[in-house]
Amino acid sequence: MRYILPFFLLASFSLSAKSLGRKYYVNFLGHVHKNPSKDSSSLTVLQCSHSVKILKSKSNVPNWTYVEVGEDKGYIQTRFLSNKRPKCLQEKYPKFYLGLDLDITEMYFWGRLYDQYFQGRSKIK
Amino acid sequence: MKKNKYILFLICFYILGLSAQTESNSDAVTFEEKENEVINYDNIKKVLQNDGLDSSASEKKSYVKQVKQERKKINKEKYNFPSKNDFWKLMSELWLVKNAQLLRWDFPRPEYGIDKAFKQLLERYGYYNYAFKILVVNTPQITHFALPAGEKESIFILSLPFMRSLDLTKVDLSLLLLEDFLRLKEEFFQDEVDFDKSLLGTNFYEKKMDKKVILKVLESYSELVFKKGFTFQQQYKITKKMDSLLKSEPQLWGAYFRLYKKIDQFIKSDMLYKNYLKVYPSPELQIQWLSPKKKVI
Repeated sequence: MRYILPFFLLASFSLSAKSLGRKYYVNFLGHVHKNPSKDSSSLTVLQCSHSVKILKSKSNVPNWTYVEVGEDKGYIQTRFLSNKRPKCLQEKYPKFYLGLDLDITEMYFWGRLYDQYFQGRSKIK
Repeated sequence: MKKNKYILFLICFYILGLSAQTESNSDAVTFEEKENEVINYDNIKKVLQNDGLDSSASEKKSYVKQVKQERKKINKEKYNFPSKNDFWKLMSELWLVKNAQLLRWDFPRPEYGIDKAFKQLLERYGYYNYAFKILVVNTPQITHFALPAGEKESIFILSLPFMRSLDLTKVDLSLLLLEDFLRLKEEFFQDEVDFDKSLLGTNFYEKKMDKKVILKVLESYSELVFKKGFTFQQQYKITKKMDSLLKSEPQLWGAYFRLYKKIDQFIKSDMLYKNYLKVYPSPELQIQWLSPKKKVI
């Protein structure tokens, strides 16, 4: 008992030291990738406003953030993360969203859409 | 031994605490509401009057009423049918998801730079603060198309085999996207999607959501994108609009004119694109509409 408690304290301290805070996922659905690449395999699917733990990456890859979601650690495009909780369509229209009856494959593809889009916005005059 | 007993006690205490918490969560009523249910203020009216507590009791009653109304409102809002902008965004993406295998858009692709070229073109013609998403598909079933995604947002589809077969440049592709963008602005597509548009922004509380609406919209999308497309009148309007927009820059106008000559020749020779004419009638006529009229002396 004498030895277990300090061990837990040390372990929890070392874990929290890695974390750089939390951010929210902003798209309708999305993926946590194994590697910092759009075509890298998906570890898990995320929903809009899902809170993710930001981790310090071993290799700093521009435009990608190393995160922890549940038990998975992987990469999300930095532009898909926000400090503020986003307004999501799932939360705005929960019953309509349920009515869409999305299965796992459809949720997977919906997340992939955001990886495959080339996105842009013309400037504000 | 003493230590173990202490740990056991702590665990029991923790479990009890958790169960109490879940109970309170499932109840999800405020303290005032509970109190209001337990105490029947009408039975003790006289006592309250004598004690001068009747005013605070009525205050409490009105507060509880307010809380209940607010909760009902929040619950009712959950049954909102999406607004016009949100609906188009959801339906366009749902259609892309449902047709992912047919459209074959989930494949590795390089950065083409089309997004930057199109952004510049939008800004050049004064279309500021417009968001866009471009999805490159690996099929000849669709050549180029724009789907609605809200008031100032659009989703563009571009076919990789079409781009490659015609050897289209970034300028060519941006011009096609601008044309599609103008079609969306005219709401040709939105007008043609067949469903009860009065549903948009309504509420279906205490009713069943009609899932057939979604199926009907998706079917309508497929019909328009693959078969029906646009009418001659709509095509004429868009071609003339492009003509007047691009005339101020002869280089771009020339690129647009040459692009249609290329498309016209190509679709006449390649059977894979036989549906092009059904969706966009017709490049041959568009060339005629663009060509300067010959003066008869």
